[in-house]
Amino acid sequence: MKKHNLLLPHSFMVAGWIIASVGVVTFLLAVIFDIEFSFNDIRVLLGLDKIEVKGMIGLSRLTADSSLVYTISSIGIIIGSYFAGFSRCREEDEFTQYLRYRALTITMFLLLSSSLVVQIFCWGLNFLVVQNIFSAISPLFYMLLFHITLFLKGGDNEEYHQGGACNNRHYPR
Amino acid sequence: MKNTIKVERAIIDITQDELAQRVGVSRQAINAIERGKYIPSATLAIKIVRVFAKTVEEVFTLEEGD
Repeated sequence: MKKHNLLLPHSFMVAGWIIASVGVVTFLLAVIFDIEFSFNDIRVLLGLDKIEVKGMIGLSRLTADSSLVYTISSIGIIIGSYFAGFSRCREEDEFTQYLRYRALTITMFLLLSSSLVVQIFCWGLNFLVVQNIFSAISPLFYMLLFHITLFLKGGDNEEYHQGGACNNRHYPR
Repeated sequence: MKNTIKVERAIIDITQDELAQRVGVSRQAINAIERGKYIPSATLAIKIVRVFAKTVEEVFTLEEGD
């Protein structure tokens, strides 16, 4: 079986799941409890607001006057989803390739459909916000779709239950 | 596409795991093929039937609409 050089090593998968889970939980907590603080708030809290950092402000979203919680959790979700979705399974075969292709196609279809809806029905700031949300959650959607279908299509077995092919281990009879 | 992999496995008394190891795929792939959830490539189909010492047509059969 051909090796897939575009995929990350299998060890990235666990790290990806952890990072994405922490990102999702942080994002949801920030939404539910309305937690918001910016780079400037941290500077004030640490008493560093007197120090001139003019060049840094606006350099990136991390140092701009926007919520750090949302920015960092979104970055976590994207990186975590990338690691978990695009790392090699323990046994990468044509079946996992087929499921990857299927999950990517569905994700791409939904992303393009959402883009079309946003182009027609959203404008101004709403356009950017909604478009950004769809772009950010698409890797998470792909990752979840791939792993769920892998579990559902290959996990059920009359001999023993051991989850998806990404966690497949050979057991003695 | 229907297949008789489960029956053939029972005849030579091997598990899904053993068959998977012999043809070089995951056990989940064999499970999905057995249950008709995934149609294998020609290469994998030939590897599978070789384990049972049969021809492709003896193990895999086309259904109406295939």
